[in-house]
Parts: sequence; structure tokens; C-alpha cells
Amino acid sequence: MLRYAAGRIVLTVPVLFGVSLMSFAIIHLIPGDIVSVLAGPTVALDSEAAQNIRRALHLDQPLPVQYGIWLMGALRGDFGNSLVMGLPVAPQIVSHLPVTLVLTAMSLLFAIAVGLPAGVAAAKTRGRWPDLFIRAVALLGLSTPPFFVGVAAVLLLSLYWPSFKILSAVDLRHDPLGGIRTLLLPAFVLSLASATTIMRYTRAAMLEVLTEPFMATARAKGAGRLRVLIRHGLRNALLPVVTAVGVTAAHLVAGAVVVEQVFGLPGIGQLMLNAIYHRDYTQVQATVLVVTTLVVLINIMVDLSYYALDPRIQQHG
Amino acid sequence: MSLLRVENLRTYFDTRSGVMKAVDGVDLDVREGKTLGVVGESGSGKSVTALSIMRLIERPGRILPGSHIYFEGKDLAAVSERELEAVRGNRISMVFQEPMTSLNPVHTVGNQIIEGIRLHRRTSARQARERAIELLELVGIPSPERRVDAFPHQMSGGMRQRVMIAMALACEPKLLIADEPTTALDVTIQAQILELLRQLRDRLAMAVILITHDLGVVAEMCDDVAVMYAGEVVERGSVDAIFRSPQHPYTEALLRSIPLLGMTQDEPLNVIPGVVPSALHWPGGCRFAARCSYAFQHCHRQPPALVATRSGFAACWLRGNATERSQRGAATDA
Repeated sequence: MLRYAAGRIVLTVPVLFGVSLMSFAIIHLIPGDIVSVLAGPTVALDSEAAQNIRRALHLDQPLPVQYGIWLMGALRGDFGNSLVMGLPVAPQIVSHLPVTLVLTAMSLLFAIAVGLPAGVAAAKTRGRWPDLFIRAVALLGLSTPPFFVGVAAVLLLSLYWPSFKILSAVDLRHDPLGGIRTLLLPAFVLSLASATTIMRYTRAAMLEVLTEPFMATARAKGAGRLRVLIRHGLRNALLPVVTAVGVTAAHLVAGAVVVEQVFGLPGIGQLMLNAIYHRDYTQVQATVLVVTTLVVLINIMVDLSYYALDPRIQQHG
Repeated sequence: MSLLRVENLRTYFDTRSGVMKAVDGVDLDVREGKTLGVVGESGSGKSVTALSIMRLIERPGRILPGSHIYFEGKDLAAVSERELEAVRGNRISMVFQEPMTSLNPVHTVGNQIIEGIRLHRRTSARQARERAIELLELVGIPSPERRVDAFPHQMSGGMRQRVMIAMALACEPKLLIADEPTTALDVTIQAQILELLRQLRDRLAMAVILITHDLGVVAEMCDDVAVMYAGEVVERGSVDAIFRSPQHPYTEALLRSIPLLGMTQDEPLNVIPGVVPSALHWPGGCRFAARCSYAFQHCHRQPPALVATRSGFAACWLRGNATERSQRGAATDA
């Protein structure tokens, strides 16, 4: 187990290195000069003031050196100062990250709680009305974008159920329960597409497993239908489903940006969007790096759960 | 004393191209502690019969009303699913054809045996584990204390089939149904598994239904035999009698088609011409008539019923007519 886990984690080092390189490079690929943004359009680019800004931000150094300076800082948790606010970026991220984390985690939980049983039920009733119903709803869920569902939910609820607080402040540190309550609706909206994906993967995997001879063996032992379905069926179908969960988790992080905007949540997506509007390069770099690292971490967890789920991997490591 | 009596078992599958009558009116009789061999070509309905006895037929298959499966005073065709679950793996067990895929790949073999025990017996997890080790030893698996924690993929086909047998024996069933238990195995392993089954049967005094297409195996292992063709039993009786004098042309043809040791390549193998008709459209009269070298007009018109013969029961107009004709002959003579 340890060797497998260590192997997976070592493999992520080059991935994370690449991620950092990308987050750094993206900013320098965007047209426009940071200095002109910072100093204002009236200041000449070769003036004393502009030169000072360049020096302060190490922009007078060659790119690899700039990257090195930035990376060393990032490794210590110092992402530099926000170009707009002048404050360090790291505390901003720390204060915005929990909302996004809780939002994605809740969505993932919803998606699994809905998608998994729905997929099993659809496979078990293949071709009959429960299957058709589940698939129709799933198609609807997949083809309706979250910004639409989000806006529609906000509008309808504020019209017909005004006492339901949709847009209240989220303060997870001091009022965790209240924060989670506020996040319920956004998490639900965010989870729709993922629930659909998980349902479809579960259904497909279950359809395959249902015809396996070991399912008949389990029935012949005298195990009840539900027991056979879960302990023998779902347990085997879980591998492809876990892969799907990993993929959707990445989509969830991306979708959180939109949903946070719709519901006005102070998450990392909002932070990133604002930073992009204001050309706050250091802020953008840092948030992109954090979000991508998050996705990489989720995928490590998926890899590790393969190990727990499939004894055949345990042998071949 | 019969342990299991199957009467008029009919199992149909509703398919897109029509109703497939896989098993169409089968009668069987298994005596307590004895072994019944069920033989027939692929597609004759042997496996479906076996699955039907345990009512393991899944959609789109269905067992028709009017089918009876009498076992220990109950008609399994009529009892509730819950009652059936108490019988399956407990009073009747099954060993399947494919040891490679019949075990669940994500659970250890020990846990799969333990599940079988604990579904029917109130024992602690530790007792069940000890029993599982005992069972593995019983079926001849070396170092069972270690193997109990192995996963199926760490075992060979023969070993897996032994595990399947251990699992089937977990609750000491009265009846073991073995559906071609050796078909997927190497020839040497086949002999070992059959020998194991024979020993266990004698030791545990259980009845066995052995489904096979190998008449040699039937001769070796079985007390009684039922020959299936096209979803029906065409002949049944004791192995001795039927092997000595088969009453149905199909049985006779099957026996003749066994290649013998010492045959040279010059001697043609005796084969039965043609193929089993489709279960979607069984022919109207005797289903074997099209391939039968003795068939006459009447065979194509009306299906023969199972009637008593010298060797047991056979469904053939040659036999049925013979008795009828002799009776009629006797009547006109008088």
C-alpha cells in the first residue's frame, strides 16, 4: 500500500511542476503590459516611475529568473502582493478557499448520493419505465447549464418563497451550520451535471456486472436481491464510477466559479474572476495554481481509492 | 424415495424475435443420495433446467404456471422468494460451469465462503472463518489457512472450482446441482474434480444432479440419467439399463457417437446429422424426427409422450406404438 501510494505521489511532482509553469506562463502570454496597468495610461513606459515598478516586481530580470523567484516564494506560501490592493495574496486565498472547498465537497456528496442509486436502479430496470424516467431526467440535468438553473432557482425562490434566504453572507468559521445551509442550494445547482455523469457511469458499469456469472453464484448462495446488487454488483461496478467521480470533481471546481458568481459567494472562483477583471496578475497566478493543485490532489485520491477497491491492483502494484 | 421431483417444468424466454421455449415440459426425479446425470447437446435446455430448479431465472425468462418442483415437501415453483433464499445455498447448492468468472473478483475466497455460511447459520465471524478453512481443506486445497485470504485471481481454474465446491458445501446441502463443472478445465483437472465430487457425495450422503454432455462421465458417476433434447426429456431411467439398451433413437445415436480409444483415423466418427432445431420454433411432431434415421410419417405429426419402457421411460413413437400395437394386436387376436 505504502509503495503504491508513494509511487502515485512521486508521480504528481512533475505534474505540479508543470502546473506551476503554466500558471506562471499564462500571465506572460496575455497581451498588455502590467506596468501600464499599474502606473496608469498617462505614465510613459520608460519613465522613472515605470522603471521602479519593474524593478520592484523583478520584471527587469529574464523570465526563468522571474519564474524561479516566484516559485521559491510560492513554495514558502508567499505568492507576492496583490497588484491592485497592495496586500499579500496568500491570506486572500486562505479566506476564500473554504467556501469553494465546502461547496465542491457538498456538490460531490449530492452528486454521489443521487447518481449512484439512480444508476443502479436504472441498470436494474433497464428498458422499463424507471430506467427511462431516470435517463430522461438525467438528460435534462446534463443539458441545462448551471448558470441557468442557478439564476432560475434564485428568481423562482425569491418570488415564491421569500423566507428562504438565498443570498446571505457565508461565514464558515464563525457560523459553520448557517454557512452550510446557505450553500445547500448552490451546491445542489452545481451538482446536477455531476450527478448525471455519475449516474450514467454507474448504469453502464452495472449493466456489465449484472450479467457476470458471479452474480448468479451469489444468488445461488441464498443472498437476497439487494445484497447481491450492492455487495456483489455495485462493489464491482465502482471502479469506473470512481474514475467518473474524479473527472467530475475537476468539473465541479470549474463550475464553482460560475455558481459562486450567480449566488454571490465569497469563494476562490469569485476571487479569481475579480483578479482577472483588474489584471491583478499575482492574484490570478496564485489562484490558478491553487485550483489546479486541488484538482491534482483529487486525482491522487481517486488513484489511491483504486488501490483500496481493486485487489488485482494490490498485487501488481 | 425421491428427494426432488420436477413435473412439467416449462421455462420460456420472451425475446424480440418471439418466445424461446428453452425448457418445455421437463420431468425429472432425483433419488435421495443418488446422482442423476442430465445429458444433451448444447441448447437442449440442461442449464436452464438447473437454474429453474433453484428459480434463478432472470428476466426476460419466466417459469410458466403449471410447473412443479417438489423438494422436501414444498413446491419450489410456488414458494415465496424469501423461502427460496432459505433453500438456496442451504438445502440445494449449485456449482457453475465457469470457475474463472463465477467467483467475485473483489472479495477473498474466504469471505465468499463465509458469506454462504452466515446467510444460513447463526455463527460468529470467527467460527465461520474456521469452517471456511475446514471446507477448503475438505475440497483438497493445500495450506487452507493461508488460501482463505487469497483472491480468486491468485488461483488456477481447478483451484477456483474447488473453492466453488467448498462454497456449495458450506451448509451441507441435500442436493448439489453441478452444471458442467469440468467443461472449462484441463483434462487432468477434470478427472480430479469429478473424483472429488464423487468422494464428497459419498461422504456427505447428498444427492447430485450432474449436468454434462459427456456420456463417459455419466457412466462413471451417475446412478440415473435423463437425456434431454430440444427442451424435453426424451429418455430417462437407470444408467445401467439405458446404457445397455437405449430405447430412444437419440440416446442410441449419442452412445454411438462416443469416439473409442483405439479407433484409427480411417474409421469415420459416428455423428448425428443436422442440428438442434431453434427454441423459437420447435417442430410440431417429435422434435428429433428430422435427424432420426427411424422416423416415419407419424413422427412428424404428433409429439410422443414419455412412456414406460424396458429401461425406464422414453418419448418415441417406436416404443409408444409398439406397446399400443401389441395391445391392439392382442385385442384383434382375441
